[in-house]
Amino acid sequence: MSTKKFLFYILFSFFILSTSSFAQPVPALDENIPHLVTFGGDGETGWGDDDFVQIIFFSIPETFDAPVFIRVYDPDTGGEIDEQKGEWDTMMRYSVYGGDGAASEEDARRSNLEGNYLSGNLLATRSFTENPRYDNNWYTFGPFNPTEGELLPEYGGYIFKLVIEGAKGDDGNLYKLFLTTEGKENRPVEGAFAFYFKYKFRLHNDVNEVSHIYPYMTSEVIAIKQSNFDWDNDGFIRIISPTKNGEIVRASGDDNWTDSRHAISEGDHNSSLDIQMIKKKSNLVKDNNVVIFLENQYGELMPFYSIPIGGIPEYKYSIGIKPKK
Amino acid sequence: MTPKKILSAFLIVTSFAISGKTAAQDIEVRPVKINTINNSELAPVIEDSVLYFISNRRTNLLVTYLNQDDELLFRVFKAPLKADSTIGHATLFAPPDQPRYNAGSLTFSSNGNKMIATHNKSNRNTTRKNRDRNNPLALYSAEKKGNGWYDYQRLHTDLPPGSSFAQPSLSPDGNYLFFVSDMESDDGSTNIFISEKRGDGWGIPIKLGSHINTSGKELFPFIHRSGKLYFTSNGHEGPGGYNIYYIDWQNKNASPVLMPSPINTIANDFSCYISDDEKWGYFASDRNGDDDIFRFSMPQMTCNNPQEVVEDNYCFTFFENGPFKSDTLPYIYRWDFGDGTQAKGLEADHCFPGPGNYHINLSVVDTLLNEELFSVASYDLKLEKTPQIWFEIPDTIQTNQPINLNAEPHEMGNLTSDPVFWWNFGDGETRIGRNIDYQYKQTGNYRIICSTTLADGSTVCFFRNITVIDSQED
Repeated sequence: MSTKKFLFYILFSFFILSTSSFAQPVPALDENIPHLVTFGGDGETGWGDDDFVQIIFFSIPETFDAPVFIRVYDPDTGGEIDEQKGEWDTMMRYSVYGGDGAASEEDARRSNLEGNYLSGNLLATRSFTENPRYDNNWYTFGPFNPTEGELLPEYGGYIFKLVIEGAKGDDGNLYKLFLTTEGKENRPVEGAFAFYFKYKFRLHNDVNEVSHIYPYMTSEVIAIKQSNFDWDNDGFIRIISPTKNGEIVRASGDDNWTDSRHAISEGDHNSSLDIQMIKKKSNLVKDNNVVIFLENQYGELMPFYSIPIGGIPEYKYSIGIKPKK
Repeated sequence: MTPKKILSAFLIVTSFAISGKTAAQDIEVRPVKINTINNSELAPVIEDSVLYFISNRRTNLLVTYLNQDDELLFRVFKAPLKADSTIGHATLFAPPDQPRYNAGSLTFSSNGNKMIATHNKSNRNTTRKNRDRNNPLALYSAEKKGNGWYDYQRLHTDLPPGSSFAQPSLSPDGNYLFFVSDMESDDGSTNIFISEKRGDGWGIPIKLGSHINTSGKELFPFIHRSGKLYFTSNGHEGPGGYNIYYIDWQNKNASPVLMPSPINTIANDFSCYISDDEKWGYFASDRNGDDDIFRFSMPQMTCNNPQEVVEDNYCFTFFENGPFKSDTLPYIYRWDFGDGTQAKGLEADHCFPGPGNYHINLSVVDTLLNEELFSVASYDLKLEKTPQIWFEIPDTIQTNQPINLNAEPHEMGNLTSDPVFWWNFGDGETRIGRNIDYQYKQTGNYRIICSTTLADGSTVCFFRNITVIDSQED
């Protein structure tokens, strides 16, 4: 994605998100995703993680001048939440980056592990192995002065990058994040939000739960290509938008990638898409970890936002009438 | 029946209020100048540009002929029609050979060489001593020789001597004679009879059916060359005591059609003569106090760009009309049509009971999520009848098959208060009236046009097509 186009996203989103105060949980409430997931680097991709690294960006308004914290829920790999593969032997490394290049570096956005995805200034890092202290508990990074982030006003302010890497081992780490103003509790940073270009998470085990992600369609987007990994053919992925009443997205099988292309019409511009992930009602696929990302017609990665910009999109039903033949 | 009894129908001079409304639909009605004050003029008929009528005006200052009620006897008068449709001076029409007393209405053969007239049977004079003796009316035929009328012969001499026969009307082909008689009546009412030509004479009169004759009085038949029988009656529905109607007399299922206002009024309107093209004619009315003759003329209906009558359709197919098209969506659409009925389906057919305002509501059941989305879209549907003059006809009929046409204005708010409907059957025939019976005589494809004039003076017209096949083809 060119910097110019990406800036457009951020500019627009900043305008809208500036009125939102509760965009800091990752996964967000509207996403209804139980946990993010990152496997240890020795794991198998067939367990639902293609490269064992997850990158999340946080945007803090330029006007916000109080310290901020990034909290991780259940950062260790062990205990009742995480996915055990043999012995608990996984080390998970969390690194917070700010400063120049933290977000503007394309390798970071693309999760290009061969490139400079660890760009910017390393502000904090911590590795976790199995540790009951952090099982079902929060760990807090920070405080950070917002100005420690990469100042990109066109991105909405100061950008921090959190990189979660499965440094070793093969267990699955399931966790949540929260950008907060307090070190010991979750207090949203007003006007802040999170975004991510490649999303790795676990689907619910309850077949009646529906998860969502919300990419935003600017007026330049005329087509998107979604790619997903290791979906295990678990139900349906569909798009709800002002003009799409459930357009089906191709879902992958076990340990493979698949993709599908979808036209974006004018009616979807300046609106989010609601990509719904509906689990298969029979034959529960338990503990299903998946990866998904989106590209526009230029092959540029498109961010998902922790809240749907402009609200959750709804299909615009219309009643047609014609004389009966 | 005495002359008094028949004529009394015409001599009713009442205090009928005359409507202050002007005539609708531009039918022009005006009294003719041959009318006289306090006398009666009626029974107009035209032959060879001469208007014949009867009147009880005084004709002789020295001798006065009265009926038993001391009323002046009716005599026949004639007045020339001028090129400008005005009428010249009226003079007594009294061929030397005609019966002596009371003269009633006339009819002429198409070639003008034969006349049938109404007179008293007896030529004997009566005195005040024997004034109660009846002198019934009878029909007399006469032949034209040169400029005069001769050979008066009484018709139907074999019929009951005490009955009266009057007001003849000869069909254009000369084969049928319509007339009025109190024969077969116990209460003095009169009916219209028809008698068929048999050689040099006339067959036994046949009383026309109940679609024409009523328990009231039917008078003044006038058989038009179109086949319509115009007549006067006080037994059919109408605004006045006596009204003028016409009917397809051969169609026993037909109903009389009331001639429109202002030909008919709340007064007594009777005894019409209709021109061949039915665009003008004469009739009598007591709307001005005594019986006078009026000329009427129909406006020329110009029907530009007639619209075909359309069936109002209240049946529709509803469908989700959003931008996303798919036949395999995992949704169940629930339709509420706002008239108490519901349906399911991606598309739903529904027929509404009629015009009205309906609020259509669409709810959706997402079968993947197993949840119902209530009222995702709605549609306010206002159903109205198509603005038009609605009438129904079969697509195909047989010759001589009666059809009934009833003009029903739909959603035409700018109608006059008393609209008149003009029918053009496409075969040269026209009719006036809301409810019309008609029979096609010839096979073919015809366009039936119904027109009316709106309050703003404009004309609207609507048509339907009909195919007439030979009755033998079926």
